[in-house]
Amino acid sequence: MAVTRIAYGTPLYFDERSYLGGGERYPLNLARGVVAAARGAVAVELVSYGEAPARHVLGPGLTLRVLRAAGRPANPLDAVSWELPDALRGADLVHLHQAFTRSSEVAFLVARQQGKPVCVTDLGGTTSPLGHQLGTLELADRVICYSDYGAALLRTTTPVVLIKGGVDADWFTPPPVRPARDRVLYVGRLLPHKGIDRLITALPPELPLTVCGRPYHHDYYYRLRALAAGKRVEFVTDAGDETIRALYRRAWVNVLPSVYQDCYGQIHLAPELMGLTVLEAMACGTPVVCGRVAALPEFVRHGETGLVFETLPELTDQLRYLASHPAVVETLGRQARQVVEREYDLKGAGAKLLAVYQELLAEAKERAA
Amino acid sequence: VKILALSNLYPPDFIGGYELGCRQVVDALRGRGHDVRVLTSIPRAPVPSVPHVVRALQFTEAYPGYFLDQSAAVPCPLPEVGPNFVNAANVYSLTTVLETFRPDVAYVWNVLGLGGLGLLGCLQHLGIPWVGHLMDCVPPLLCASGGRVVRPLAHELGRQLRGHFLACSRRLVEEIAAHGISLDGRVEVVPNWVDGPCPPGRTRYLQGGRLRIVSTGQIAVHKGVDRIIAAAGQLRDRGYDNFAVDLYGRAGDPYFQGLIHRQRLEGHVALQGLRTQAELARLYDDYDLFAFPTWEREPFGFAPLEAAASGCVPVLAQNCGIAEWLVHGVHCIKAERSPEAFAQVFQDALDGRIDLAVLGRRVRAVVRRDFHLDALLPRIEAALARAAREPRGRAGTAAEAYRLALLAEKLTGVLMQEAPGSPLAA
Repeated sequence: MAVTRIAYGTPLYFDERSYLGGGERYPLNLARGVVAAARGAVAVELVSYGEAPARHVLGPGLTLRVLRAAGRPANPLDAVSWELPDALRGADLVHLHQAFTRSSEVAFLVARQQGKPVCVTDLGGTTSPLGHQLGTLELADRVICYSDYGAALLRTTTPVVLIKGGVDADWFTPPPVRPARDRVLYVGRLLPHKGIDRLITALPPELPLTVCGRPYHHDYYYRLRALAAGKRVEFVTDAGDETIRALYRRAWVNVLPSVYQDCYGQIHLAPELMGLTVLEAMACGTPVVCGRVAALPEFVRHGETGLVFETLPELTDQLRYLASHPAVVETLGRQARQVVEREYDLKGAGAKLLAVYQELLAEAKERAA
Repeated sequence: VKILALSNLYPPDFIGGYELGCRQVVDALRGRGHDVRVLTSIPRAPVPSVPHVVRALQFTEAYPGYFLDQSAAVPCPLPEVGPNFVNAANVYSLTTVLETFRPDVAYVWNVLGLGGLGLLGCLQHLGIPWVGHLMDCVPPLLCASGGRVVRPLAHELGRQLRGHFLACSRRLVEEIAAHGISLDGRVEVVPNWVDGPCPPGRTRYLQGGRLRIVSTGQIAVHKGVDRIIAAAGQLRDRGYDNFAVDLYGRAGDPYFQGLIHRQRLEGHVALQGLRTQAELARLYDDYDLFAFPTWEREPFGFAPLEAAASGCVPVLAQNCGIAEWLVHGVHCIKAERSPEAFAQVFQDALDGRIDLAVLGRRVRAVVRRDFHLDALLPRIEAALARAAREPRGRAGTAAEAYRLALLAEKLTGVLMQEAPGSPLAA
């Protein structure tokens, strides 16, 4: 059986050597989902950039190819490489993640020049205005979105396919025996648009909070530490997946307090196009609290899988309520897990995406014939 | 066959033989009943309008007049982004002509200065079969930045090129391959040519016991004009006085006149100024030898062939393109590209050790038989027809091609500005 080869263009990859963010974990998860759904008929190679070329086997049918980046762009999402044409040449289809970056724009050119079917996904990292100015989405065969909110932001005549979710519900699971829940939790990068400063501000003094994530913005990190003074806030900046899963499992609630305008006054039009950590917590049977911001309310169903707040006092009240109502937490958490299994697991997302790929590959085959 | 010819310039707006050759082939193809449209650049000076020639492309000169007029400095640096790599406006013009004319095949001549990579990419994206006619090292030069070929870009171009090629010499094909673009399997070597009626044969050489030597074309160091002057000086110093060297072409600065003066060669060597192709064809009849000590990079050279059609015997630098087509001692004399070697040839001719009449008769015959456009045109037609019959595969839309060109043009600009060494780099 001939194996279909799919290349995922992703400027950064989920690894300490590159970047640890949802925009990097998401393509990795999708790739795993596609490979699993295809049962050996599809191989996915993540194509990314670094200082030295490398190739890593991530699992059966799943590889990471790191291309030597040419020069040193100011923003790592803008990495390009002379090795890209070679990396894409063997692919039957190319799926570009982070649509509005220079990396993806160059990959668009190369893939189209090589006559490949192209899918593209905006993961929210915008570093180049060219895509919007020139309408590069028109060059794709399909735009894959993972939220209604994300899809609504796009202006294109290219067919848009909505595939929500992509969390690893086999790894992020409720524990066999639930440890005592004892904290409020934030998981994610420590960046201003995540609104962690608001969470610390709203945190009731009697509740402990664990802030878990890489401090990619040093000034903001210092600001958070200063805000946390006198409160029961713990920072975990080097957690691996084991630790993160353990934290999800023992939290009353995972909070994602993202904002449109951060504490520095900067505006973020799409601060969350999905919120992978929201789904991870839900998969662990832990409810989520989020603001009514961007795509978050699509995934956090108020009163069913978590709570949605409008104001900081409301957030404070919700945290106190959940910390003092364990039965509610368990109910919301159980329902959250069920929703994830039903709608957001990477295997389901992978199967849906595989169907899109198969349709495009069949079209390409027909044209070639 | 419906043929769309692409050329950066088209006579009467031209620089040299490449563009003149293009017009000759276009006229010949039209004469054979093909429907030919030419897409070329906006002329640099007013020219008469011709229905089959569309002058709509933006052209940036690699060889503007100021630099051509210098004795040694040949090309000026291109502002490279648009001219060399991608010019989206030109891609748009191309898509417009393709939509209205709907050619069976595109015939790509010199596309330097037009954003040639973009034009080739557009043809391929739209599934238009194409044939490139190479009289210069165009594919690598399309990948040049800062005067140097960008090797990975050239390599990738070589992998992606889907057209076929006609090249004027094997050495040109090898030069292109040395830059990482192998044309093997897709290239047919077709020499340059002479066109129109050939002048009547001649029988007399060394009239009045005097050797008359001519050279025509660009008066420049890389063409070896300084070596011709030095050879004349050596010949005179060996005691020969019965010779004359006439150099035709635009002498833009006083360098060569200074060389002639410093060696006190005014009685032997003369800069005769610019002449038209037709005037030169008549003048060749008066000369015994055509001196061509050009650089090794010379892909071919029309002028020695045109002179040979009159029986004027070519003396060729042994490694240039045309040298691979003519046989030493049969049709021409080949020599090292040095004043000493050329002076020796001149001396041998004067001393009767070279039978100019025999060489002249043979070269005239071979040029008329094998290097006349009438003889070569069927091969060109066959190459175009073959390409036109090829399956076209997946064709994108004109809108996509233009959008890709816009993206490529802007990305290239940004990347070049940020590249290390760029004055605009952060």
